[in-house]
Amino acid sequence: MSCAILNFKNLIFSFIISFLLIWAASYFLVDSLHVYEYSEKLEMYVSSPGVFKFRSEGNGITHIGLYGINAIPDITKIKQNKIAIWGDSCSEAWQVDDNKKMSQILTKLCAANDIDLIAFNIGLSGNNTTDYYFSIPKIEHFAPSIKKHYILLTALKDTLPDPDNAYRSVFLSDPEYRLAKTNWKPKFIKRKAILEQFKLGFVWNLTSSISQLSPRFKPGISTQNNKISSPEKQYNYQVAWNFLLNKLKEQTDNPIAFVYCPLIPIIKNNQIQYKDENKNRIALFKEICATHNVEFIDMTGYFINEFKKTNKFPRGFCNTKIDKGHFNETGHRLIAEAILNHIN
Amino acid sequence: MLFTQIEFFIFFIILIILLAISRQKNDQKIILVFASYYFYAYWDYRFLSLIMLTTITDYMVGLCLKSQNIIFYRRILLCISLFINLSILCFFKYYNFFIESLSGIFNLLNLSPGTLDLILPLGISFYTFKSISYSIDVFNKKIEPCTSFLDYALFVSFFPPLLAGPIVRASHLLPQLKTKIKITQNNILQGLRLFIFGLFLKVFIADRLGLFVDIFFENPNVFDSITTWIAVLSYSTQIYFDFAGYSSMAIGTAKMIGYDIEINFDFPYLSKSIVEFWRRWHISLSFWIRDYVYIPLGGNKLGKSRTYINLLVAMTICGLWHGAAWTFVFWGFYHGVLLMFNRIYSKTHKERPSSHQTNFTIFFNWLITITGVVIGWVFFRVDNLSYALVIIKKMFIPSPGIAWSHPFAIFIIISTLFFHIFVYFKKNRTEVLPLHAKHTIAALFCMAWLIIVFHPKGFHPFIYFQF
Repeated sequence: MSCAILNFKNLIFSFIISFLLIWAASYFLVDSLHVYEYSEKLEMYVSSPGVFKFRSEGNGITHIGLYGINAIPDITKIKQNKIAIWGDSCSEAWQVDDNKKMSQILTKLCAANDIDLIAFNIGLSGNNTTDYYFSIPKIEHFAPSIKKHYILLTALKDTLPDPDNAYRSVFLSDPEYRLAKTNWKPKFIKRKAILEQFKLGFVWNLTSSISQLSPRFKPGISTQNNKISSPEKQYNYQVAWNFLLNKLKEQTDNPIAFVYCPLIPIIKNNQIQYKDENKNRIALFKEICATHNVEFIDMTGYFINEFKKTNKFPRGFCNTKIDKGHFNETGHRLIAEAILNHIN
Repeated sequence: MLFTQIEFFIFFIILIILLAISRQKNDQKIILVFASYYFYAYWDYRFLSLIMLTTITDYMVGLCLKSQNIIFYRRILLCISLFINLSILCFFKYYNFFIESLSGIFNLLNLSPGTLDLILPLGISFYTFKSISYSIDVFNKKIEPCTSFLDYALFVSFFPPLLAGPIVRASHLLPQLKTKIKITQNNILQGLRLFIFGLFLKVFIADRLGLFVDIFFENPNVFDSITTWIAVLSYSTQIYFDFAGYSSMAIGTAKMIGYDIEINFDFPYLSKSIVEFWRRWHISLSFWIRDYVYIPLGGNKLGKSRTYINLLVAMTICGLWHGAAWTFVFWGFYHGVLLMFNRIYSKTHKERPSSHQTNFTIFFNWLITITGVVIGWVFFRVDNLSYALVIIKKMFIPSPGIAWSHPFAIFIIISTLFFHIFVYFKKNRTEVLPLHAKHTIAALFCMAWLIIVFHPKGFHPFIYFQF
């Protein structure tokens, strides 16, 4: 009985059928592969142009254009005045569709308010403030008439020296404060590009799962799970931020504004928490920004008011965590509105 | 070692090859015992000594019982077995619980016994119950004592059901150990089918549901009533698929080696009464509790009130077996109460045979049963009883809060419902994926792909490992 189904022909046929079924399902349910390409002009790796589906958090489709800029096919062809919104994966905003990204909402809001401005997101996962230092002059060169730079600040560590991990560039403190480029290069660019061409992202998941395996065969000893958190790094915030902001201002004559997006409100300890744990340090950062003529938008009030009014978090998605993660539709809208208020 | 680890797959392939090439029955058993000890020691080799202590104790007690006919001495031998097994279990599992629970009394007596940093040995509840059942069965002369130490060591340590059941009875497994293992294509196929199906239930469904469920049960105050229902139903589905998944993998693994283990779940959420639920849920445990706790207490032979007390005691012990916390004790007691009411209802309303029941009656009975079970899971999952009350209140009194309709959770709840309806109306429910059907292999391949592509990152132990 069993031999009937275990013949070679049936095995191959079943494998092919299952492969095709999963291929079809993964087209709708699996993230596109993030394919990078090297931009000679920007001298860095950027996302390759194309359509990017994101399913593991939210449910967004992003059309990536030149220089990895989302929702605009070729930024160099747009002659209008522009606003650049810099950031990490929060600005990249794969989690929401193009028309729900903050730049697109802001452009629409500007149009509705008779302001002749086009906003565009320029974000890459893993970016920190040092990356903007290197990229701002280049983007201004290739996409002229940028009138203002808004930098999304989602984590204070993005402004601090000696980070635990940095991709494209890094803020160092030893032996002296300096900003340096790294030799970071995305892995498996060609392999990913080929797989993405045939929409075989799920095959990549398989191979990457296998490559990440590190089997252990030696019998072990289990331990109590008493995690001791590593002590927080101590910085001279004032000196570090003065250096960073000085450097940033050297790169452009256009105004720069930080948009601080705290991790609140969040669900914690069986209640909604509104208290920003970075409140004091952010107040210091804001003060230092003012001395450097760098503007500062604090999203704390926007986020809290919106939540109290509608019970909607600025971050999070129903298919991951409802309160944490990247910005959702509400978060993008609120940031766009805050920037519009700032422009006005 | 977990069934979901890559190390297990490599270990198991090597084991199957070794078993296939060894010609002697005894060689095969030695290989299996060492493999089982390695399987357990992989997690923590220090606790292997506990399994060995249990093995030696009950093997010796069994042999002594064989040569002893005086009831007094036989009782002493049984007491030795029970004392050693239960002492180990109580010390590792319940010491801190009792110290914390009785702290008020200790304070009054000016005593201050501190709690200990104890690690709960994996599977201790399962192999202890397995070994105790052997001693009791030998004492009651229901089975012959095992005369081969190798056989008995293999019975206690046999790795597929070692960590989370099913609780295999000696009367079922020991006779199988007497025959030579034959690795056959049919067994491999049948076992593999069960294993992949179990892995799919655990990794693709239960683990992914856990991501939503865990957040809800840590913060039940903030969510609204609809989210509360979705989360509670999700947990009911998660615990079923997690545990049934493990059982299926254990049965499948044993089958590939050539041993049969009885099923542990038989569509429990199709039950139309709480009695039926316990005949279908964790069957090996509920029958163990029936045979070794409820019946020795007197069962239903000592009158109405005594029967109810016996039910409450047996189910409270069942709850305590699940974990050293008052939430588990309450869950067991709650099920005891449900069983008691079930009994009262059955006595007062003489049940008509199911063939004469109207569809409405069947549906109503199912609805009442499933609601009772689902409410029970709330007590089972929460960290403290106050959370349980918040959740149950939100379930039945519409409450505002954050709405979170997790799409995967809703999809799985609806799919599970439809799957159960399909199984209910299917005449032959024994095989969902029949071995002779041509689509079975394709379905198994699909499941394997889904597990690989959609497995959640991180470590997700089986829920029943904590017991």
